[in-house]
Parts: sequence; structure tokens; C-alpha cells
Amino acid sequence: MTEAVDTTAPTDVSARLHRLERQFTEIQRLAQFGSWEWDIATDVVTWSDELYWILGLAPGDLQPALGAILDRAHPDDRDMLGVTVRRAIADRVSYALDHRLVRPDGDVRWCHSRGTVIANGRGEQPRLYGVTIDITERRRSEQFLREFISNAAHALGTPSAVIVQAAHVLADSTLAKSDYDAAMGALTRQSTRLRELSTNLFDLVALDTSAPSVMFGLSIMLGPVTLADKVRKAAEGLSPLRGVALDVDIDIDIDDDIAVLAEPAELERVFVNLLTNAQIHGGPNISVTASRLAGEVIVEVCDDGPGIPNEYLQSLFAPFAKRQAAGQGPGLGLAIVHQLMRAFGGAVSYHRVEPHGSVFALRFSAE
Amino acid sequence: MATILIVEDEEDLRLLLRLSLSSESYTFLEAATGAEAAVLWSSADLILLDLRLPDIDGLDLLRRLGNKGVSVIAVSAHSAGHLGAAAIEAGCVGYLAKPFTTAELLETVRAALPAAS
Repeated sequence: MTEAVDTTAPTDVSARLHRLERQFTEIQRLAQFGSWEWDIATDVVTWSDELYWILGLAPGDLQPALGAILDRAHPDDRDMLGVTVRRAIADRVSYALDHRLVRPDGDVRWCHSRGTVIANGRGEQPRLYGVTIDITERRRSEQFLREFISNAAHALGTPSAVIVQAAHVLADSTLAKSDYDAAMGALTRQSTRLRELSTNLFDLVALDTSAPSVMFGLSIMLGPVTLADKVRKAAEGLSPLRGVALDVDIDIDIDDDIAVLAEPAELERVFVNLLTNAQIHGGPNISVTASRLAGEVIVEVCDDGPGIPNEYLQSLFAPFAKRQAAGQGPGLGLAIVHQLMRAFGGAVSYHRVEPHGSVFALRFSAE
Repeated sequence: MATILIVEDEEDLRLLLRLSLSSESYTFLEAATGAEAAVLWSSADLILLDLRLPDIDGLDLLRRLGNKGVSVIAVSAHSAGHLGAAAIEAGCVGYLAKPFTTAELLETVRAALPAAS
């Protein structure tokens, strides 16, 4: 008869435990969640390394305790967090809540904390286990989304208000012919603007930021496109687009044999948006030039307008960036250009020319 | 003949306000921003003031420039009741929430203008 003997040497067990512990720490770091345990009988609290990092501390920086967490809670959330955890202990129930923690450098982190009380059923004092997950990035994107929706609502609201106001004016049967035409002009302009805005919004949302080459769930089919054709077409279709004819001169200097990697219709749109932008904010002299540079094509859309002030540059390509002149409506055009250039595997950048003027530089892969 | 200053950043809305009041023989001044309005402020008998301007909150502009010798009607894109109360509190003589009918506009403007005009 053989006897089952544990042949695992103590050093192997210790090595395995050490490996598991390292794995656990790595997983916590990747997932940005810290954990803690409170043995109520001995009043010993232990924190995982990641919990220290979430708090903006290094492991072992301070003695773990519930009070140490509460001290670092945002003043507005401290009472709620304390009451919730204490109630969980008293009533032996689980809890889950979102709260903020303030790091020593003042950085505020949004966290989701959950805890549960585990009793062993033998009458011993229970233990409290908890996890704290850093959800700051998720909160930021939620905030971004809320602002985006608020901006979109405002952007759609303005032309809608004009349209309804125009309808009230047009309802007056005694209106002179010239006044009727003027009101009808406002109605046409604003409904065009509304239509354009909703199309742009739809497309911008469809352009997946995490998968730049996908639009409406479909891959954008890239191929060689003759650059000069698309720039000319965009320039020709410019004025009717907004229902305004602005007096600008567009000079296109691009060799007919230059092709770039893009999608034809969307490439034209890049230029429609940039030229419209130059027409409204820049002008009156607009030029489009292209040059080949080591497997790439650099296209520059320039105008001799006032240039974009420094304070707007940081969010220039963000949707609804506050850079518009009075009554021009919010900008989605540059945000779409930015997304489309990413979809083409290229990029767009901006620089101001002294003493005045703007240059939007597009970098494409040459074909 | 009364002079009305229209402070509104949306050009088409300024146009529609003028058209709505075209049955009366008013003279119009227009401003698209708070800065433009500040220049024309004291030249008007009545101001139609949009509450959301590109460079300043409409009521802040009113608090800064005052309403001595001029009647101010607040115009807002929102029908929220507290905005109307805030406008009256700030010194406006009337409040209009977009959209409004030509009749509502005319009535508010006539009530706000001094009888002598």
C-alpha cells in the first residue's frame, strides 16, 4: 500500500504563492482596481498595492485603516462613504457606490467601491472585503458625452428657433412681397443649416473613434484618388452649400498626376469643409497646394485671413469647439476633417502664418 | 418715432424681428455681440436683448450697462419660467421666450415703450 505524500517541497509552494501574488498585483494594476480586507476581530486592515496607487501613494506609505480612506475622500462624498461602509458592517450587508478620492497632489479620482461582509458561520467576527476601481476615465467620457449632447441640442436649437420664428412672420397675410421674400430667405437658409448639421452630426458619430477606418459600421474603402480633381470639385460646389456667396478667390496649384490614398467622396468632403472654413473665417485669398515628400503627399490649404486665436487652438478639431464668429453656428466641419484624415491613415494639422493667415496641412500616403 | 436696438447674434433672427415689427414705424439698430451692443446702448429707446450672446450673458450686460433711460425686453431661447423672473429682477420690463408670435412681440414692445413715443 502506498501512502499519498505531498511531495511538493516548501520552497515550491512558496515560489508558487509568490508568483500568484505577483500575478494578482499585475492584474489589479491592469484593471486599475485596488482591494482591501478588514478583519474586524483583530482590527487589522490590509490594502493591496494598487489601492495605494489609486490613492496617489506608494505601497506601505501609511498604515491602512478605514479612516485613512475617509480622510482621502472628497469632502462632499466623505459622509456618504463613511455612513455606507459603517452600515454595511453593522447590518452585514454588501454595498456599492461611486465617490471621489483626492490624491496628495490634489488630483481628484472618481472611484467605484464595492464591499461585502463575509462571516464564517462559526460565530467568529466577520471580515469585510472590498474593491475600489478607478473609473475616472469613464467619468470623463461620460462628461464629454453630456457636453456633446448639450452642444448638439443648442446647435440644433438655434436654426429650429429661426425656422419657427420665420413661420410666424410668414403667417401674416398682410406682409409686403419684399418682406415675404426676406422671411422665406431666412427659412431656406436655416433649414439648409439644420439639415447640414444633422447630417454632420450623424456622420461624426458614425466615424468610430476607436476604429478610424470604419464609418456606419462599414470599412471605408481606400484607394488612389486624383487629388486635383477632388479639390476642384470641392471648390466649384462651395457657394451653394451654405446658401451664401462670399467673395473669395481660390487658387489651386496641384499637379494632375498626384494621387493620394483616400476614399473619393469623403476626400472631396475634407476639402469642402476646409474651404468652407477658409471662406467664412479666413479669406479672401485662398490657395491649395500639394507637394510630394518621401512616400507622402502634403497638401496645404492656406488663407490670408486673421488666423485662429491661440485660445482656440487646443480644441480646434474637437466637435463644437467654441471658435465660431457670431451667428455662424457651431463647428463640426473640422472635427469631421480630423476623423476622415485618420480614416485615410493620414493626419491634419494647423499653423498660423505671421503676420496673418492660416494653413491647414494634410498629410496623406502617396499612391 | 422710437428707436429699437436688437441685440441678437443670429442674423436671420434680427431680420425676422425687424420684419415682425415692420407694421410700426420704428427705427432699428442692430448688434450681434455684447461689445457691439455696448456702443449703441444709450442710443435706443427700447432694447430687445437676447440672453445668450457669444461674448457675454445678456443679463450680465444689462447689469453692467444699466437701464436708465431705456426699456429692456429679454429674449430667450428657453421658456424656463425662472429665466423670466431673473430678467425682471435684473431690470427688464418684459420677457419673451422664442418662438413668439408677431402679435405677442408687438404687444410687448408697445407696452414697454413710453406712451409719448
